[in-house]
Amino acid sequence: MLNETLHRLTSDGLISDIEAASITDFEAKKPFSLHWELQTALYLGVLLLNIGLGILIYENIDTIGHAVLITVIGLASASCFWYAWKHRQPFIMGQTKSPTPYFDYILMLGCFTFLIMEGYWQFQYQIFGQRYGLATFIPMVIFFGTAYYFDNRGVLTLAITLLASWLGVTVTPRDLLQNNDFDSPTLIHTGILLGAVLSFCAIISLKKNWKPHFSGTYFNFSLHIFGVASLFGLFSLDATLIYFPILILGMAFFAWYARKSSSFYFLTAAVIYAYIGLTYCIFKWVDNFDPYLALLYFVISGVAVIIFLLQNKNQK
Amino acid sequence: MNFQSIIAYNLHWLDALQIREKTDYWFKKGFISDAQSKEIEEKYPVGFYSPNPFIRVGLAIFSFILVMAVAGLFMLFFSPDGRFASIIFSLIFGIGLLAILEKVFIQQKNHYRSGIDDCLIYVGLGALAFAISESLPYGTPDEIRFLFFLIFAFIATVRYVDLLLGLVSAALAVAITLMLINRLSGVYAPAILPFVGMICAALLYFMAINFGKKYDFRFWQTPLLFVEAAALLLFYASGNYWVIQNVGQDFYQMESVPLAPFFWFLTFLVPAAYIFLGLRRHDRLLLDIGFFCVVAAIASFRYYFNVMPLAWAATLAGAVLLVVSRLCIQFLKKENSSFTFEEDESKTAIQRMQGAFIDENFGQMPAAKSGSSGTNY
Repeated sequence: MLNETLHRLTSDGLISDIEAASITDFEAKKPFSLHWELQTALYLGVLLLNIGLGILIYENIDTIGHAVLITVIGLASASCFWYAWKHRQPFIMGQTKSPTPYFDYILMLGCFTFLIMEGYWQFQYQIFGQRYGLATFIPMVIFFGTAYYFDNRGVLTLAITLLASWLGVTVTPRDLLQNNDFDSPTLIHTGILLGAVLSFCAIISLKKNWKPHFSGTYFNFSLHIFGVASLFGLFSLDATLIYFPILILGMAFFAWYARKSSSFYFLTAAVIYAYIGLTYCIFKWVDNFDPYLALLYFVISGVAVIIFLLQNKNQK
Repeated sequence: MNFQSIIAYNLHWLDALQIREKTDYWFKKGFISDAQSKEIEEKYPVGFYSPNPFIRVGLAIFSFILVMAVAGLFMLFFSPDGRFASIIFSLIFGIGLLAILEKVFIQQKNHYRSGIDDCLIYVGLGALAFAISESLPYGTPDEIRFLFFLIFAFIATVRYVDLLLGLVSAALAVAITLMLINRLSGVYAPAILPFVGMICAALLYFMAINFGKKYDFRFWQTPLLFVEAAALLLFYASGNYWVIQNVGQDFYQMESVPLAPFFWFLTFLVPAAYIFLGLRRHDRLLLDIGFFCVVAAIASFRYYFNVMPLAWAATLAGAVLLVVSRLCIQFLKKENSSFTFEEDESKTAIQRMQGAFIDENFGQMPAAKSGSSGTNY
């Protein structure tokens, strides 16, 4: 296979015989990389060890005692943050390179153990009582700070998740939360608003050059929170004339951004959200749809979306 | 050799894709200059329309919606009644889709892995398979039914160079063999089938690697690679004690497994052999499937013998894995051997397989790597 390819290249005069020979030599002698395999084994080892130890601790909690356990978890978290602090890069607004290969993972581990410790506290000693908002607000602030200071998008993901749950917990009266009532207008409106705010954050980070590489993470959350919230609004609040324009405007914005920055992921996702909304509305607005017309709708809309997507040229 | 012209896509462009994948890698490694790389691009142009993977997914979804709606319209209009009419209908529909695929999308619009061609291939063949299956008389043995499917799937694999159809063809061939042997061997079936499975797998494997090496078969490299992987997995599964015991129990009401010690031996020997050979031959597919089979072997063993509680087993296994992989990394970093811990930038078998589904090139979406912004060790 290799020889034939090289032969074609040399006979076309594209590479010289000497170059072909050095490539043959390189391909024959290049060492076999075990990078992926060993790295997987390493992660699997860490994962298994954690699961095993977790179960062991859980099973022997009576003999160990809660106070000891919380201290151990807290110490683990603290040592992770201490490691990150010790190896930190000087803060800049741009992207930094990971100072050590283990840095990002240790920082994430520190954040996770912090959350576990906090949850344990709340579960065992109810330190926050009924103020669930505070329980999510505190780690959220810490994680946003951590994400920006140590330049870590994984922690940013955690922080945005906490922001969403903090808002969700705060705006929802507790009895609603207990009834699992996710259709409440407040929750939907909060979702739409949060989506918009996150997009705003993304644009600000791009425009002001405040960690511009964070914008993708913000946009990603924004797209899905906004899309799901406005679709829920459409489905459950019986006001299509309000939520449909909101959805379409939002998705048009994402499609525009996607075309501008050629992020095809955002484009496809925005098109799918918009299509679901449009189809729902069409079938809601027209009573007793004639089956011919219904199918015709799918034909026409299908063609339209395909033509729209086909405007994207080859990947490069 | 002109049998390659059975492929529906433009052969020069397929060739150019393969050559440029190699030369791009050599360019990265510094064996080819910038000017040379430009010259190669000019000499080997690629005219396919192959959009970004996400666009491909979107196009596939909406093509599917469109095709189904069109089918629905035709059904409403002609309302085919009864078996004969539905056979004719799906036959015309399938042929129509494949004709549109070839005449319009492949020949005129130069689509290649665009989502539209994927969708038309699968839906068109599905309609044909339905027509065939319906036109066979009731009570036709499944082997015959599968044989017809196999013929179509194989021709389509060759013509559209499609890896999924390649896997379907291999699976159908194996299924037909197993069913035939099962029918012929009567009471001996459960004792024979594991060996039949292993022989099938071995044949498939050697076929795949032999053709995979031949330059004339270079366009079918990816489907053959998938068949190779499937054959390795089938070979292991055929000799795995847990598989044999469960199949025996469910289908043949077998109380115990004949030759149990032998199959236990295979359950552990095969993964070890895969890993050993993989390392020796620098064959990544063999190596990685070997690791996967080790996990399967341990799971099979634990299913029957509860040696130690899960928590202790996980802790121990985790600790061993951690220490061993750490030692290996340190060793590879220090010593000069034919192995390395450096990342290989050429497309490995597994990456090629991943890339067949999703390109790791996530468009330009920065968030794609948000979870693990530093996987480099």
